[in-house]
Amino acid sequence: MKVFTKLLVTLLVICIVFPAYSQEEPQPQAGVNLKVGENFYFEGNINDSANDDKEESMAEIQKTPFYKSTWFITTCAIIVVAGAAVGIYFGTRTEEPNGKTVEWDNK
Amino acid sequence: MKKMLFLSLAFSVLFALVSCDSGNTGDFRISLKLPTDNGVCQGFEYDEDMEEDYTYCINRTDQVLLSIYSKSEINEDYVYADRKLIRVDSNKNGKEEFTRSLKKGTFYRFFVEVTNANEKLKMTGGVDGIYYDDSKNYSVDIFLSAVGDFTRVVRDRTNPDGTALESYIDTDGAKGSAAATLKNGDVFMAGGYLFDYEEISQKAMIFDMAKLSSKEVKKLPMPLMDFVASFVDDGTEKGKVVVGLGRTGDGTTVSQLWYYDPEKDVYNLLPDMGVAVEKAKAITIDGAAYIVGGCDSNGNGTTGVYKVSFANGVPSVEPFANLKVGRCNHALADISDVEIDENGVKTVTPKFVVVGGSIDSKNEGAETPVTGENFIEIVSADKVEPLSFSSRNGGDDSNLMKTGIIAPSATAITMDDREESEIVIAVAGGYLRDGDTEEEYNWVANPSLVVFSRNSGATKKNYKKDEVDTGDDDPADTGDDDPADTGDVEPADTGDDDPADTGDTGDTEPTDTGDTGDTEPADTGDSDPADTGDTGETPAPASSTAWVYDVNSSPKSCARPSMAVLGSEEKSTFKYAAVNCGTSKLERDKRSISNQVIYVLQIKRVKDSDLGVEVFSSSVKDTLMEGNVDGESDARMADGPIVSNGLGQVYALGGKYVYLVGSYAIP
Repeated sequence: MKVFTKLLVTLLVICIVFPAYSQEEPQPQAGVNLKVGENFYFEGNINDSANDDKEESMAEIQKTPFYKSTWFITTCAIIVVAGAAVGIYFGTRTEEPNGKTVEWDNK
Repeated sequence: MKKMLFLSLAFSVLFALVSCDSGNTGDFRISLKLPTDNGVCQGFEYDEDMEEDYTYCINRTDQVLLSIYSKSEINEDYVYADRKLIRVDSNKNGKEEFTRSLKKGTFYRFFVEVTNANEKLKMTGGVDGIYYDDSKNYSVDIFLSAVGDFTRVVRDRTNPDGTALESYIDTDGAKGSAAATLKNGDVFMAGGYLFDYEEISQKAMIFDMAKLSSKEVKKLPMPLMDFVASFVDDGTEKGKVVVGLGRTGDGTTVSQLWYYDPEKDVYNLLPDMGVAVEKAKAITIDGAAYIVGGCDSNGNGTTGVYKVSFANGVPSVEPFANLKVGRCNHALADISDVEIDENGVKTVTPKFVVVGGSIDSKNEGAETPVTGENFIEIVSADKVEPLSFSSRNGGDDSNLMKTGIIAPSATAITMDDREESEIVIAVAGGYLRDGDTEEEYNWVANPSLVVFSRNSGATKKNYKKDEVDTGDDDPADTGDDDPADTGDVEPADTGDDDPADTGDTGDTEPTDTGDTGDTEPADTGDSDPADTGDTGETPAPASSTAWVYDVNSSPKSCARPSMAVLGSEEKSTFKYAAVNCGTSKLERDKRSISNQVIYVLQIKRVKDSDLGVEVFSSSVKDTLMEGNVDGESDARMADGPIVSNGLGQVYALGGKYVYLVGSYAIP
């Protein structure tokens, strides 16, 4: 049981440390800057997204860090609930300790 | 949201950490470990005859008594605290709570006694020096051994070969190793010549008797054999072990002494004694070690007696006395005067005897034994004097002063069955010259068991030669016709009066030596040390000597034994000592090694019908181990140390395994 608890603690630590201490990387300057008064021309079909370098560049800009991802938050949430449950169970259980015992086995 | 997540996680970690530590509530579990039984215990069936031997079992008809002793300071004596009698109701296993609480910051000693349906004590075991802290959980093993008998120490009886407590010594065994018991019951063993590797070992090992485990500790400062190892109390939890002298790997004798610190696992050099010796002996009395004699690099016996002690943590080595005869290959026995005043304060005046040995160190069989009036010397702080002794008739019927005994074993035993306690000295084994003249003799293993006691005038008056030859009145007579006769030394006759007799009188008398024909010491002529027959001269009055001796025949030949007192019941008429026999041959080479023979001596008073007085009888007690050897082991040895602990248990060492001799009671 203690192995399981320790594993849980390790995962919880990971859940805490990464979000708390990870810093968002500065966003690189990207996109198209237009100045007022400057003519802007667009060539090609506006509905055609194939081979569009600008769209790819925008996707990169909007990429979410893993600790904000759904799967990470979900996992952490499950671990939090499980950890709390385990902690409450063992921390509040009223089971008697083994006490001072003498035992033997005749096998 | 991020802060909420962080806080939740932090609380979860806290809960989990709390739960990790929630099990440490001061639980204390004692697991009783039993000797190998070859499956006998599983088939237990109670019947009046008890044809099967269930000594190694805890069965439904048994009772387990756990006695608890405690002390709050490490240097105090243990006092009785509590006991729990458990009635066994299952043949398979058992579990019982033995106390509601143990006191934090207290040292504990536990002693277990198992009795059978007839309330005969059959197994005992114990553990010492457990410091209790209620913020921890404890799991302690107690190995039980047959009372007054020996068994190999194993953690799991179903797997004796895989879980036996093994030393660094291999199958062919060793010679010249040394051992000492620490204050907490652990056993330190080191050195010796290892026959498997044909070298003197530098290894040292500690056996943890509460975990039934062994571990190699820091090696000796140099390879050593025939050296000393003796416990010294410095006031710490485990104490120290003085090691040194002896012979090292290149064959030279050693003058250095060290003390081993088991807490730090280091050896610290002690002040030099100024003389290099081997085959010295050491004994611990009241926390100090006394190192006695030894033979120097020229092979000559030395007379120095040195005391090694600690005061305020500082060690010292100081001259204590000088023997009248320099010697090695001797034995020591503690006969200190102990006084306890009305406040319970104990005062020990160190005093010990030096028994036999040789005045030189040569190849076996070429030594010169210590003979004459200095055969035994009494050593105390203010004087050294020969122990004046005679046989019961006032002479020296066994020729002890004439032949001497080289490499005997000896121990002092307190007989407290009378109003006034009396110390006797039991001597067994060793070897001596058997022959009529200085030119014609054979070296033989000492065939006698000798008990020295203070002369109370219990001797035969008007002693005449004719009366000796009748046999029955001879203390050394091994005749069977009179069981009350001291001469009756039937070692296997432990009868109903033996407190350890478990009621089984079936097939468990492998050492029935009622027929002692082969070892009869009285039939080898006048020079036989055990021959109390025709001395050919009128003995001197016994009243002129301070001590007298009684002799019995030994069914075991032990050329190089070691002996230790076994804990016996208070006020009992029977007292016991355990002997680690070693080989029966004089030589200490590989061809002479043999199975490890261990036996228990029973010392008791018996009435000599002819003398009309009480004398002391010494006999070898019956054993469940056929031939007094562990039949399941292929391990052998030449000689080995034997040590006792505060629980009165004895550990026989020197071979591949560790053997426990079960005590009858805590001393």
